[in-house]
Amino acid sequence: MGGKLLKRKSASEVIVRVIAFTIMLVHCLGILYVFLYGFNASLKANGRVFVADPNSFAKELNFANYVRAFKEMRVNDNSYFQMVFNSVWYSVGGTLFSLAVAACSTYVVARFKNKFTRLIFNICIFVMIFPVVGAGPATYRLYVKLGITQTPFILLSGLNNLCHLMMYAFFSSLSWTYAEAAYIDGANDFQVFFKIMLPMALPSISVLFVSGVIGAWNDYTTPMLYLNKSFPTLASGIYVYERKIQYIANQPVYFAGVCLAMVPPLVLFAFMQNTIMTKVYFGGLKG
Amino acid sequence: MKITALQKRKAKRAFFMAVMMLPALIGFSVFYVYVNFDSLLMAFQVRGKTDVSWGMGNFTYFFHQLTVPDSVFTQAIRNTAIFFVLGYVQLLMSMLVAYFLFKKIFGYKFFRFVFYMPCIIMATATASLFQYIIARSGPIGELLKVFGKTMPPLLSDSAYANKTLMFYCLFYGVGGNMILFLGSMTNVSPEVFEAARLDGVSWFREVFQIIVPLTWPTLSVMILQSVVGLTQASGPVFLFTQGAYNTYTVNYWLYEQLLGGINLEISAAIGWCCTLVTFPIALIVKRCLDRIDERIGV
Repeated sequence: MGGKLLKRKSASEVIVRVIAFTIMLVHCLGILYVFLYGFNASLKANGRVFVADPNSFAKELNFANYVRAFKEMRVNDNSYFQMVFNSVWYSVGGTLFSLAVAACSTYVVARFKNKFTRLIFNICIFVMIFPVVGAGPATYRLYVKLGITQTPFILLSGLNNLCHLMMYAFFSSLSWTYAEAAYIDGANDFQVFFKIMLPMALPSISVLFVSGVIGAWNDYTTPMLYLNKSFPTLASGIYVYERKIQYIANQPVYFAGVCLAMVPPLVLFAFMQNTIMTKVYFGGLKG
Repeated sequence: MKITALQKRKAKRAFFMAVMMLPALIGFSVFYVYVNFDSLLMAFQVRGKTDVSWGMGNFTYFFHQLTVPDSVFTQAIRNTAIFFVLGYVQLLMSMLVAYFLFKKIFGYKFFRFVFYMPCIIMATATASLFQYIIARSGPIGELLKVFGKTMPPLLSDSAYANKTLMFYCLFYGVGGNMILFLGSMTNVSPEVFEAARLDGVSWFREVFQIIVPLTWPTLSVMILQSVVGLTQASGPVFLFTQGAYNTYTVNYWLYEQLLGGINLEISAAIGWCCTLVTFPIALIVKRCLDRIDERIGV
């Protein structure tokens, strides 16, 4: 009885829902269309077929284009395969390194309260709110001075992760009882952190890891500035390929390369969808 | 003097803390403290033909350019303001979409995934495909041809370029904030809604008197973040027009200088101007938001 009462909707609500559904459906189909267009075009026989009639359905399924993308899409002396490799180390390596640095220091800030750690925490809050815009040129100059541009050492910038505020929340909310028991058994601080506290925080940190990897995989601004000449990632490589190569002779192969580059984040996301959707409210998930 | 057990333990703890924090502290001092200090110095370094002198030259150059009508900077500031306002339209759209997804509208899982897709797929890929869609020979162009019209050059004409970027922003940019809103709405206890329903609260009042106040903390953080990023508001200029056809924004102009490794000192000066403009505004907005927080009692 109560259930029925709750489920009954007023006429105005039904109308609003129908309108909203229609608008959202059109919007979503519009978003999807772009990707389906790319996938469809990637299956066409060759550039001539594409140019003659770019918008029709592919007549045959030329999955061979996906193999050819690996051979033919070269950017700045890097093959597609090398760009995949660059994207992997840039996103996975960079995120792991930055999170590892952050986990160590954030744990101390969250768990050992004293004047110093409180100061660190306040600095982090300040850094978050204080809008520094002009740091780009000085960062550029520093990277050039350090000689880390166009090398994998660019990931060293991940050291700048003093106190990760979401991780701070994870560590603060963890129960301290296991750690206390371990201290009584004679464990030292390092053992408590690596064997007890870090494993307990790992499920939460893994969400940060996945969203970090997706973000870095798709990031083109930093690789364009500091890596593109010697280590183009897929995100920056696709951009350069499209812009610098004035005339893409074989569009289907290019589309195949573009579609392939979308797969890893989509797969990662599919696995973690529910966790990401429910656990992250204030994240850096924005593309 | 004897070292007591307590002192020993304290020393061990201090050692632990130092080891754990050392990498991050080094990183912070180099990549934040030093960088910002150097950036401040840079703003006052005026690059001549061969040498570098100290002075206000970068600032006077910037302010002089601002008085020139139709200079890159006046254009950039206007576009930045447009995209800043657009950010709020986007926020409103995200909130509406999140509300209907939260209400489990028919097919909400599909909608949730598709709206979020542009956040998971690399922007360079999406933008590249989008260009083919709106090209003259693209599907929309073909459709227009049926009606005897031709597709205008949406990305290579000052009359359309900026509007195209704005459309792209709104069309593909719903997902990020939508997820955040959805997360905070899901956190509202379902009993609140049940109680309201039993009391006969209409859906309209439900939105404004339950959902908005209870998700206020998320909204407030987003508003603050957008104000902090006031001068960095920008469309996907780099992906589409690279500033051509009146599409420069402050953020993109600065990025372009970096890409070319040129005008670094002027960029630093402009960056500091932006910071100085934004900071007081951000503070005031934060005060206002805090006051609303108190009122709502969250």
